[in-house]
Amino acid sequence: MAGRSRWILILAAGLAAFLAAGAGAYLYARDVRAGQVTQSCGARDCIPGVEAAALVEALKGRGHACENPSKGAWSCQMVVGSIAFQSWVHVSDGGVHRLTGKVFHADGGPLTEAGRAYLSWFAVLPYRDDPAAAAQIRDWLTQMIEADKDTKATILDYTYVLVTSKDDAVELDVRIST
Amino acid sequence: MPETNGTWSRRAVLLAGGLLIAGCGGPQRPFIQSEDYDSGGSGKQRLGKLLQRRAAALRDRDERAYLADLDGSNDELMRYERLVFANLRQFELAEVRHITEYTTEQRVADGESRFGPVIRVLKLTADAGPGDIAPAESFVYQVKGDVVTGITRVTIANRPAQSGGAPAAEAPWHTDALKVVQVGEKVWLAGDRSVADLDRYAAVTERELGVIEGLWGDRLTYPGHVLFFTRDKANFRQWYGYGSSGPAGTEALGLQHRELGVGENGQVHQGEYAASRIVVNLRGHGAADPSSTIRHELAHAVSARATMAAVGELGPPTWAVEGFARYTETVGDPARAAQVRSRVAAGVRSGRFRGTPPSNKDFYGRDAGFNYDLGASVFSLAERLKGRDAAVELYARVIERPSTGASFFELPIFDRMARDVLGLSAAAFRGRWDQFVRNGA
Repeated sequence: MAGRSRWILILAAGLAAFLAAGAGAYLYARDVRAGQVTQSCGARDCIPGVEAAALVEALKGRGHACENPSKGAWSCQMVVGSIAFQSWVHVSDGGVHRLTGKVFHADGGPLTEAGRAYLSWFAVLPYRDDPAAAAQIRDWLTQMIEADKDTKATILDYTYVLVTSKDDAVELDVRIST
Repeated sequence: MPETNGTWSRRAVLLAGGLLIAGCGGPQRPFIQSEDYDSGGSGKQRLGKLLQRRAAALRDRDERAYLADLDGSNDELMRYERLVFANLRQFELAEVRHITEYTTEQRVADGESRFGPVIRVLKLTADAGPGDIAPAESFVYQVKGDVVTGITRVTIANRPAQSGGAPAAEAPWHTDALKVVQVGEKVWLAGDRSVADLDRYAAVTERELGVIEGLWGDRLTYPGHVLFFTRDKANFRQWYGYGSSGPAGTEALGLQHRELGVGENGQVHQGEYAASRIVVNLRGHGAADPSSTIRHELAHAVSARATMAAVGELGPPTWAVEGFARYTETVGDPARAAQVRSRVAAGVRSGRFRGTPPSNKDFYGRDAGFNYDLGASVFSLAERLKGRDAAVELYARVIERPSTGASFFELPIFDRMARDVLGLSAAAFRGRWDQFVRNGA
């Protein structure tokens, strides 16, 4: 029990630092996006004000190793103890049109608060300057994770797909509906 | 979403119609569309709100609000919750809140769920712990929609099956209608129906607490004390779950119960007891005056916060804990002192004295009576050597340490204590004590 507590503390501290840095990295973008649901990015629509390169740099800066094998999507990963935090950032003309976050527990344990916070951070990214919307999305995510079932939701222009049934992992995919 | 130039105002979308309307004149749709999502919250979230209401109602002494979320057709549930409310409203509550960090939901038939353990932090103004550590008790809630259809106490007996190490709910306020009397600023006496003369013990308790506090001085203690009185044999057995285990047994005259507290997230804090409760068995006293028992248990209670929080061989020496409490019974009471000396002498004559204090393992065994008195002799000797304050200081130092299973007098740490407090080596003190006991203490 004592060991488990220490793990939780380490994860929570690391993640808090990560999230704080993430918020800082996007402050500059506030003027650009000015309350848009989506914005055009080449042939696609993207999350307003989020530059793929800046997002990837933020992930790298907080311990993720990132690579871009296909040019279309960055793949990033950070391992803390027995838990792997993974994300995929899908790029179009420098913007982000799809985001996937995944938390894998090698020990087979349930999703921790840190894991939930990680997925929640991706979930609210399109609505990050709107506390009411973000709160409702967090509520949805919490409820679905507690229900421990695969589910899909449409949140304005975005499609959210949560998969909890696969191999000790919980995955959230956020993409702009077509 | 209609095609535009890609510049919809999200805030306008969300605010125009409280997250419901997507654009002027457009079709209404919820902000989050999902077959599985209930915007009213998950079962656990609903439970959390319900528990907040119940905690606030208890703090505000609002019975109607406390009962409002319960299934009124469940007579047993309503009777139980009315009882608990009527009992608790007579105490001063410092903190009431619920913790659901480790609560899991188990679905039962007809949309009903069972949630457990639900931990209720219930801190009286008499209690204190380090930081936010506070005493608590646990329950299993059965909920249908927003209505509580059942509440089951987590007890020592059902705990393994229902909720692991969650703190048990074994306090007297769960089983009996109590009359509670506050004495002065910091003492609460509570009696069940078998105690019609509760007020009689107010002055006694205040006087005995004064004696113990005079001895203990400004050392670490609790802000207040709670004493339960009963003449009911069954209650003495069931309160705090000592009926079938523990040292008290059914023939004990009283017991002092110590409780570990929980932290913010509900995990039990092992470092220090967060609360102390006393139960006085008036039936065991018959017509005799219980003041000596009250003083004995108060000696435990006043010093419990400074007593290391562990039991068995890992806990402090029982001879010191019980011996000091017995020693306090003799303070200012020559007749009691003579009685204790006489029993020690009788024990020595019958060959029960082996030159060392009894081990924790054997303390409450066949020679329990002698062991109490023998333990007291350590502090009587300390008083004779260096005065009453030295006896108390020796006790305060000893109860910070584990008994270790060996003779405490042989430990190097005791040598340090004896030198600091009594100005003697452990070996010299041991010799003096042996002589003291054999000569009739």
